[in-house]
Amino acid sequence: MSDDVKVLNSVVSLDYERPPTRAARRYTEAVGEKRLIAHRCPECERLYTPPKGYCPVCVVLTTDEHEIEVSPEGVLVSYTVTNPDKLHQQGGKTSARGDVMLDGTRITLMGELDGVEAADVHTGMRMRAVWVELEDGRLPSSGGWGAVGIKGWEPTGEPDASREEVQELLKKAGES
Amino acid sequence: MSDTPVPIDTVEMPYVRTLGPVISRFFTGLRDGEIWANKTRTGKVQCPPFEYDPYTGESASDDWVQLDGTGTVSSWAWVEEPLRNHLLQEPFAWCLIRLDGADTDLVHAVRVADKGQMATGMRVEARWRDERIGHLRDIECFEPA
Repeated sequence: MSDDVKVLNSVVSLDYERPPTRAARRYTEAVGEKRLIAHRCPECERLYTPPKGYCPVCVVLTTDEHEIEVSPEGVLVSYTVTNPDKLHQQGGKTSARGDVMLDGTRITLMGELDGVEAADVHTGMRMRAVWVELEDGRLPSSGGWGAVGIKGWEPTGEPDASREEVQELLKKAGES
Repeated sequence: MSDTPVPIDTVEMPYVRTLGPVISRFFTGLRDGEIWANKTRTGKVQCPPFEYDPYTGESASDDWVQLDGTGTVSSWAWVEEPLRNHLLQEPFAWCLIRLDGADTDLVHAVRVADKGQMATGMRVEARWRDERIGHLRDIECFEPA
């Protein structure tokens, strides 16, 4: 019969409950003040934001004394444009997400790219964080994607980093 | 800071799968308020139906029987605090239910007023939703018969 039930429509859903660590609470407080903090590993000097409270490479703990502030601005080093199709769209429009390498670090943070048409997105763009607004002094859920507290990235309007500079940044990130 | 609430992140994705002829027939029946079981080549009645006989690996036969939605609880586990995506938003029991006429068990939720009413061997019957879409949730739950 043509009106037989032929497919199962469902939503796979996972709830993550993570009691915040001290490092996560400090990070959240800083984000509330539109600041980004990181931990620098005392052994290898790698930076982590949000801070984990340890360096997974060296297996050493990091604490408040390893905390530093990092710039919420950087260079777009990678991106992807999403064109939701009929099957998968969630009321979605064409949008772009990208990795921004924070100035002076080898950290890349992923986020939605805002304030720029998907067709105009290109690597080397100078970007700054678009902060999430606190709700009752608390950060809303990030939905499990990207950096907590950062909604996305928008162009600063400054001149692009050159192709060579972007390649150098990516090379450094690859070595880290 | 000990009163800091624990943040909950929810990650979701749509999941669509084709059912194939056997499960399609089962789900179409559910939409129409009917429960259908199929038979293995050894004559065992399977509900939920499978494309095969798990004991022999042989394809199931194309012999179908309709069941009436009453059955017996083979086993149960009490859920005191339901999760948000559970069938019932009140304490309930996950059960293995041997429907009358079947030789296998169906997993479903049983609603009782009190945990003390739950017992292996208790008689239950399906409570159907008014609006059905072709899903195991078309049976809202089972209740004591």
